[in-house]
Amino acid sequence: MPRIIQNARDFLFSSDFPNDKIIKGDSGSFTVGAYNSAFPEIAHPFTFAPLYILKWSTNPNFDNSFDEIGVSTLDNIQLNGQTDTSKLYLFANNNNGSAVTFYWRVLYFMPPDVMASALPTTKDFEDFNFNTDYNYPKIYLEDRANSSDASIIHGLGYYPQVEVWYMRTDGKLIHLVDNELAFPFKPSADITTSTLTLENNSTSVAYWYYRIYADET
Amino acid sequence: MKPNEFLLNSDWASLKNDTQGNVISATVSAGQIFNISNPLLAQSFLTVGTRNAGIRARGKSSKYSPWKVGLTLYTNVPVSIPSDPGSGVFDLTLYCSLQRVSPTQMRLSIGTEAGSGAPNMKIEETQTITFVFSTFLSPTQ
Repeated sequence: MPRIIQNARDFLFSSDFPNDKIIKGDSGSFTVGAYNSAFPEIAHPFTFAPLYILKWSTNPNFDNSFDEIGVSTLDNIQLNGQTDTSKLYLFANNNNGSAVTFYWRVLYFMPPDVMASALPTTKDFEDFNFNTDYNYPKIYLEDRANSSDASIIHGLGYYPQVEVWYMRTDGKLIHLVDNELAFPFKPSADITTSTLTLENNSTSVAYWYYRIYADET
Repeated sequence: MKPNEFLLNSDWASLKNDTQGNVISATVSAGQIFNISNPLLAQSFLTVGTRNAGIRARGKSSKYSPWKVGLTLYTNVPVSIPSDPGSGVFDLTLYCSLQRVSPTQMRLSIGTEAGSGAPNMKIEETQTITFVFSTFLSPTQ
């Protein structure tokens, strides 16, 4: 039976589409002194470089929270991540005049080209795994793009929610969380109502992973 | 069991959208003067009912049509130096970010990259930045 695409975003669940499955969560904290940097390495149990979403805060309760932020920002404190087949690598900069404690949380996902076992994560998270109080992002297209540049036609007719990761030629997997139109040396992803365009912009991208959801952002 | 064999499976936790498809925009007006050593040009707050949330957003400027994945948007903003008309008009990089600053507030900031010792800059072209964002629950750990 073909998948029903029309109005998929109007449903909280749709068994026509896969949903995200969090295969592990992790969290921690570390302190970086004034005008200093730190590069913690956190082991993960997988044999592949997992897709990840990293959040961080300066507050243990995450009252304020940030996505990964790149180098060129207004903020005096920054945290970025990478994964490979053994670890999560964190890169923290503190350009303030006093020490800062970084609190981080990471969610891991299995890449679409990996067919491996993963322990259940039900007990690690919310009381309810599925709860109709919330929407569950429906994965409309998910794949690995085996080229340094790629164009993926989705044809949804609206701007969909998209997640993108790129694998560098050195084996480090990076979640794309920002873009630069003018600056040429950083991978980028553009979205229109019909297409997702991935461009390496003269960087060492080996391949991409992308998820296009049948949900508006 | 292998997660990629299943469409839905309650053995694994899933992302839960708390808010979805929200729109926020801000405008940087032509004629606005700033000093690059104090680079924040504009910021606006939006109150939303986020709970312990992560943020995913994408945005576009009024000048460029493609929407960009992620939290920051870079584009070229024509500027000039008011005290030195002879310097002409040139481009600076515009930076935007959407952050969760409290359990109930998001902040959209627009600015340029930090610098020091630069003269005052005047923006030559009005730009409106539009973001569409969703929030999702961050697992309590």
